[in-house]
Amino acid sequence: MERYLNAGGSFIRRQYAPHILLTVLFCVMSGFFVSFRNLDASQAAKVMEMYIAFTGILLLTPLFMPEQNREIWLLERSKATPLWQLYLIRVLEAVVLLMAIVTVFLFLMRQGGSVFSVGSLWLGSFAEIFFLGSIGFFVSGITNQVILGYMVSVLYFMVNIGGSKYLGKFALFQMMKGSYDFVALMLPAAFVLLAGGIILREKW
Amino acid sequence: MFGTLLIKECKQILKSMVYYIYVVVFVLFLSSQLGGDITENLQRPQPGQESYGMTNSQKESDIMGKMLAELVLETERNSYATYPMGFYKGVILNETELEKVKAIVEECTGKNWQQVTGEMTEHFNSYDQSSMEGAMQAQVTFSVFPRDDLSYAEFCEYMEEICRLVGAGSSYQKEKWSQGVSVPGTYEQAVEEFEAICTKDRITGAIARLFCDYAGIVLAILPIFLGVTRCLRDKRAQVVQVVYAHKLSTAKIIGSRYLANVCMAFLPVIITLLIMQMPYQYHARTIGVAPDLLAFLKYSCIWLLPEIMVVLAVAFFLTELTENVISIFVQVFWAIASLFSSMALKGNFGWNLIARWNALGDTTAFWQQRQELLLNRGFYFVLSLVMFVLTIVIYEKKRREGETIYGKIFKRRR
Repeated sequence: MERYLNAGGSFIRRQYAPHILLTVLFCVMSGFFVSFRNLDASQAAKVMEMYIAFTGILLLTPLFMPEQNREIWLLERSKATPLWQLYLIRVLEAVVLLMAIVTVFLFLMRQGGSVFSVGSLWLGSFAEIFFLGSIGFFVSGITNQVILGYMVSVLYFMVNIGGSKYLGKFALFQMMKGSYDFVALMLPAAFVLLAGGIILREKW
Repeated sequence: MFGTLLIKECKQILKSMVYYIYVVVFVLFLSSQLGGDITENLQRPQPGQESYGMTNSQKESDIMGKMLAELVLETERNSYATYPMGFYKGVILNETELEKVKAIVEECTGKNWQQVTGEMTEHFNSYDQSSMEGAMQAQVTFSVFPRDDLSYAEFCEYMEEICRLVGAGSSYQKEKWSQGVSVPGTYEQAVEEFEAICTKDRITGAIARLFCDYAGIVLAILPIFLGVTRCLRDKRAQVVQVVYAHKLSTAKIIGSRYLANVCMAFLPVIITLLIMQMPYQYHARTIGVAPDLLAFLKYSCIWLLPEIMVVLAVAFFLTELTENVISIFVQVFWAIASLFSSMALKGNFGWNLIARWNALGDTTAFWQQRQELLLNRGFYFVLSLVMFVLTIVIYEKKRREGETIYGKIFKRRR
């Protein structure tokens, strides 16, 4: 256990800290761009889907960054701890942060007198943000290029602004329209992308 | 030497997967937006048509009617569009605030809230809301008439009160509506407008503006990835020290990289415009207008090239400064903020990175705002040069000292 905690702590200190700082900055600045007061369910969903969704990209895409350097990757491969376990620790850290962010923003909206179902919006927001981030994670994993991960996930977000009808159940911004059916499909899809990213990266 | 380096850089870009995604997304986006037959609306207006488009009016009565109409629509939905930091922010009022706004509407119109909303419903029901055209027509013709004895000065005071309730950046700020409001045009205005498209724009100019409007959206985001990829390539390939030790000057190294990226980012724009302009040139000839063959190229060089230059220059600057991908977030945020901050999809260029003109024609209005566009693009051209020089300074410093001057928060940590 101590070994895993050390690996997770070291990743945060040496690699992940700037990304966490950027995410915190992004969240702190939210007050300038979105309102948390007196929102109904659709408007609260809009805040989560149009703004907070970016935190998924910010936190999940850079998880393979250290191993982009082949020497680091070879060194880590030679250690007793398998690489997939290292990746999993990082994913868990990112997921915990995402859960905390979603919870904080729902709390802020509730404090502002907004009316919505906390359970549905929490689950829907988490599923969507997690899915968007897992796209970046998957692409950066299989291409070994974090920039491609960011590019594809940002483009996926942009495509949804005008062309969500072509993406079916995998379209973002569905909570704004009052639909929460996507969760059952999007959440497993995010896990598949995460697992796929790790497996394809290391086995292929 | 510079030329050899430039060609090498271009070849490097051609080997990058990021570049091919850039090209595919750009072409797909443009062809999806301009693929239809947009020229079918470019016909000489006929008397007795249902509508003659929109025109800008600065008449006090028009301003009061349109602003009150917008206020009634937003109050009915209890959702007010504001742009406090240039980025869209929907404001929802509580019951007390909402009652105050309704009271202001009642003061301005001399009618009670139920009467006002009843007239609004009646107006919208008189149009076929199921069709896009009907819904649009209902929206553009909707006005709420102020009471006869409401003076313009009183109206301004009421709008200030609305601004206090809704918050900063709403459309009720005087500086926003005093420039005029959109009202339905007349037959004579439509004919005049068509003549302007034929003589000033020679058809292709009007379509070139629409091309630049759409292309500008994607070009505010896509080149970022090219720039960041290039700047981090040395680090990834672990040749940073080798390049630092090269005899070539920093200006030539960075210059060749930057110029290669600008050229390669602009290349798909040129190829796409050359292909896309052909049917419109043909259409111009069929209606007896000699098309401006260079319109697409001229508009693209003035409208899109400075945008590509500044996006790449900022990407180069931030990436060389931080040796990180932070530039992606900064610029994606900037681009999306710019996209949503354009309250009007047409004109009001200001200092927006993405200059919008999402209209086919409106030539007279465009030529009135042309100076503002040129000033905007000129500013970004100069900014890109400043950023480029700053990148050289930073790179030179890193070369001399052999390390980053900033960034990597835990760089010296053991």
